[in-house]
Amino acid sequence: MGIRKVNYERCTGCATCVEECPMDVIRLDRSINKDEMPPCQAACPAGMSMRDYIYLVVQRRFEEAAALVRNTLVLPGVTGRVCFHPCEEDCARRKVDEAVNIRSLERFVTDYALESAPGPVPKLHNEKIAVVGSGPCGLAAASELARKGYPVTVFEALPVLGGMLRAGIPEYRLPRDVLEREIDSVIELGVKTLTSTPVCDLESLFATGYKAVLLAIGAAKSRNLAIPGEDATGVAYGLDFLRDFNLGKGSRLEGKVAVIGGGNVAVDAARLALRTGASQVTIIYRRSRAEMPAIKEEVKEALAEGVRTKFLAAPVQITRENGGLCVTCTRMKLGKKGADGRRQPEPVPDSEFDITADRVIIAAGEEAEVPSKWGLKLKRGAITTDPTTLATSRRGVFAGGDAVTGPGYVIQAIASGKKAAAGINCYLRGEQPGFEEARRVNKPPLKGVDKKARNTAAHLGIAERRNQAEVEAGFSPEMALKEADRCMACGSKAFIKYLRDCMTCFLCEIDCPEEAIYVSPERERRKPLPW
Amino acid sequence: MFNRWTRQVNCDVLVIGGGLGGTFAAIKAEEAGAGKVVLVSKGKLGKDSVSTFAAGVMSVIMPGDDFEAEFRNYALGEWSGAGIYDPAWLKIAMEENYDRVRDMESYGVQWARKPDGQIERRAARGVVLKGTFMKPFMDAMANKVRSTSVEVAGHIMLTGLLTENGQTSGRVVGAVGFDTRTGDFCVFKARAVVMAAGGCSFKPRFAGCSMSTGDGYTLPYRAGAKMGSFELGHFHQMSAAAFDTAGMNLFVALGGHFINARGERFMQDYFPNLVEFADLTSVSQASAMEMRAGRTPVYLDMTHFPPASVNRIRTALRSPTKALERMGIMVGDKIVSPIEYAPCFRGTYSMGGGIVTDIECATSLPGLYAVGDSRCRPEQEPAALAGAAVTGARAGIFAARFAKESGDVEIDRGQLEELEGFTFAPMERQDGIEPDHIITENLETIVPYEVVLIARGERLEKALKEVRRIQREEVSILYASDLHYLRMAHEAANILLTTEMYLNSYLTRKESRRACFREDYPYTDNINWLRNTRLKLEKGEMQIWTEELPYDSLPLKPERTKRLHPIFEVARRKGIPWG
Repeated sequence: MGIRKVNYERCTGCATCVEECPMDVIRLDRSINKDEMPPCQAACPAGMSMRDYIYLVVQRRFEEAAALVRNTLVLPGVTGRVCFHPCEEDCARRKVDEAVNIRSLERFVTDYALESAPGPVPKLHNEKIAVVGSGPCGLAAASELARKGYPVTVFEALPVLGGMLRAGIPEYRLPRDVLEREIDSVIELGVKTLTSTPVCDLESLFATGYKAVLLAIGAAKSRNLAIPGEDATGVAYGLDFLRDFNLGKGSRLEGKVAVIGGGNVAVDAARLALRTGASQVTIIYRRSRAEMPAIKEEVKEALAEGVRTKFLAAPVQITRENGGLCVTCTRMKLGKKGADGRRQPEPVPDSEFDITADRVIIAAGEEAEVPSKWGLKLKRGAITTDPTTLATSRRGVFAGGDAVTGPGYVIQAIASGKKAAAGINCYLRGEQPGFEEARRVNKPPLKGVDKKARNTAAHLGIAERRNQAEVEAGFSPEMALKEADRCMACGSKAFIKYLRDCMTCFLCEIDCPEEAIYVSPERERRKPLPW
Repeated sequence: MFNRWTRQVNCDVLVIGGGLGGTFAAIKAEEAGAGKVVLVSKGKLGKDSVSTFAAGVMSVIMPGDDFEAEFRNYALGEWSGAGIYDPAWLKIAMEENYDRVRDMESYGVQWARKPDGQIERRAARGVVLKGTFMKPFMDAMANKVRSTSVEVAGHIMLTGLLTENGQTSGRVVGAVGFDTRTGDFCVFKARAVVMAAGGCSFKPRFAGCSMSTGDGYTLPYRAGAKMGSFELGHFHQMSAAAFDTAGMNLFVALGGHFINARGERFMQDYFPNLVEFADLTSVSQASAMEMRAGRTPVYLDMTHFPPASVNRIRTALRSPTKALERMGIMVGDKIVSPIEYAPCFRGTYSMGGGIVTDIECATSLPGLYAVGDSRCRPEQEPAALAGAAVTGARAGIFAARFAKESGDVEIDRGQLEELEGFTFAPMERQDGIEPDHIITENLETIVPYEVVLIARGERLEKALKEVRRIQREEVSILYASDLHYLRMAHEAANILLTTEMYLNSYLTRKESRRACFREDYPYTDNINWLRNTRLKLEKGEMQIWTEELPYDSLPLKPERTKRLHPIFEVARRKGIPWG
């Protein structure tokens, strides 16, 4: 009597049968594999459950999708814009056509459903917690802890909140009203914030009653190149340049600008320089484009905007001449792969050449600035912590984000903040941290999925990018629905939902790429014969 | 549950249905420069139509064939028009048949070939000349559509046509429906609409057609279109009794034959010349007469097939092959046992009732064109697939012209609201009757062979009364618990309305002609009944009337005689009682 069985060992949930059944008998069961993580979620440092919230988008339940996103992740309006989206790198759909545009979907739901932020949480605990730094790590931890019912105070040295989100990331990538909105959503949880309040010694924090401290101080000190002429007039460090402009203190640039480095700070600085008057911007990087640690889309946009590049060039000296600057570089070639998997640059002997510029911005990496009187164990400038709880060498002091890992991406800092919050909770409650590793979906759909082009939100025309206007627009609801429809919901299985409506046409069995379906030709005699 | 969202698409030509006719209409409308063409299908394009399961055979009339003889066959042949035909239309259908075959070939459809490269044609049921497909062709048609600028909207169940100012019988300006996956209310605004949603299957015991539920009739009917000739269609197909299978066309073409319970090849008695090649309904009627005589069940015997024929079935008919294998009837390259067959009430395919059109496929509603099984086809033109191809292409071309020449259209807000309410009503109800119940009741009313297979006025009237009762008492309170059942609720309503049109037309024709087979009027009456039945919704009532054929202008004139329907003739000879 019709379609009988779907072999779940074989079924990959490609939905060929769901799409093709003329009688609409089969559906995709998305809840069957709750304990298996789809690749996107497994790749997300914060463990965002994209499959679930995208399905809510498919169902046109945008508010619930936003609430689900916010439940996992603080500041989704930020990560929806600036995340380096490792989820998309691992998206199983890449093997079919292109990754689902997860970042734009995240941005869409959080922008669409502004009211979805959770409100204040009643205080359940008395232990006051101090969070030092209001960057993504600090805000994530503060939000998590506040939602657990702790009184949390965030200390920020700058006069404004947001840390690197505000001082580092330029407005054209992250509009300030969005940042304000996202920070407000943390404050609304009942988190106290103190700006222009640098924390100099930890003892006074404990002395004023704080039971735990999280150091989320970021990596705010620019590394120098250690080359002659680095201190010449007209040479600045990337972070300083960004901070000045982002906090409204920068003055317009003129002439040619050389930016040294290949990370996000370098690319942000280069694009910002173009927007603030530079006539020509050149990125100097000692490796090639493939090795640049900056987010790929940002590099692409920078090049589209006219940023020039000088790859395989390592500065060896900066000199001032004729009122301008001259960066002397050595040509490099790529050698063997290093420990980080990237090919290591090696100098080519006697290959020096000069690049002239009016301004030079050095963005060769950043590190944390940890006062020695805090008495913490450090390793190469970063704070050493327990990998599970993020506890430092000092009792009651935890650390997270860039201060521990060195410069990373926003989502990593947020994930680290969440982890630290869990560690602090365990510490204060005297619990053992739980550790659970979810299984990954082992057979995502591959065969039988129809190709559908990825939807990309509109970008500002190159000519219009002469100010801080946001470059990438968001999805319209229609676009979001189209893009959400591309999610294959990895781990789902075909499910015979309307068995009695099967007309035994065998289409599902014939077209199943995994040969997972069995149809019986015999039909129940419910429907009459003429005699 | 999904939040309801409204989606509106504006286009120049809207094609409803994605079978052979619908795909042809979309392709040709686009080629004709219609502008934006949108094709809406109920499931996935290429997989949701009766054409997807077509029995692998299509009529092909080629240059060099004896057109005059063919024309005579189609117009006057007993199995065919039996005198009821439209000469202008028949000429077009025959002339354009081969062009469409060539089109399909260029889209990637593969035909059986003779060693010299010519299309291989075989005699098949009813019609003399046939071309044989090597494999299912809807994938090629769907891919062709996808390669054009035609926008395909799948998984949408349409529930109503939009008309100018919301007026019944006004110009058609679009359609509405819902997305069966998301529940979106879908609104299509169009300058011209092509109805290619197929016929009505009544969801019978027959695989491969249950998704076709008279949507192509009920939407235009409710909008006030003139319909007709429902009683003349082939409503019966022979199918295996224990399971569902399509493929009769090919089985018979390859030499399969019917035997009755006594092992006699009874079709030799009824149709000494055509034998099994007699049309679907004739085989069903003959089987019903054997039933009267107590010589059922009947069987289809293919046990004598050589391996080459069995392999032909394998390549052309994927689904029936699976069924035959699983039932233990096809083993390797042999058919090991005869299959018990029974007439199967399977709906309005290949010929019969539908929306009345002119030779440009235009209907009585300006801006609405009709294709294939949705169209009224009293004559047995090169029908079914060939008819769908020819009408599809014509409807596409003339709808494109209409869209270009006519002004922009506007949707009547009041009508839109009303249709939205109508669309979702079964889901809004707290309680009510399930669609499945209504579909089964309807089948129980019309399937017993003494209702329509061997009809009589009283029995038809009783069935019609019951169908009207179901409509009045049950369709009005259809209940759907989710979107799947919402689709089924609309399908059930459409099936019931189509049944009413069918039974009403059957009662009106007081003679026996082809599928219309009445014990109380056993004569084919060319004196009084060279007429077509017509029906239309007027002031909320189904109006039915007949229109005389323009006898004087027919190039081939059927004899003005009255003689016994051929099946009754044989039954009388064989001593099977009727009357």
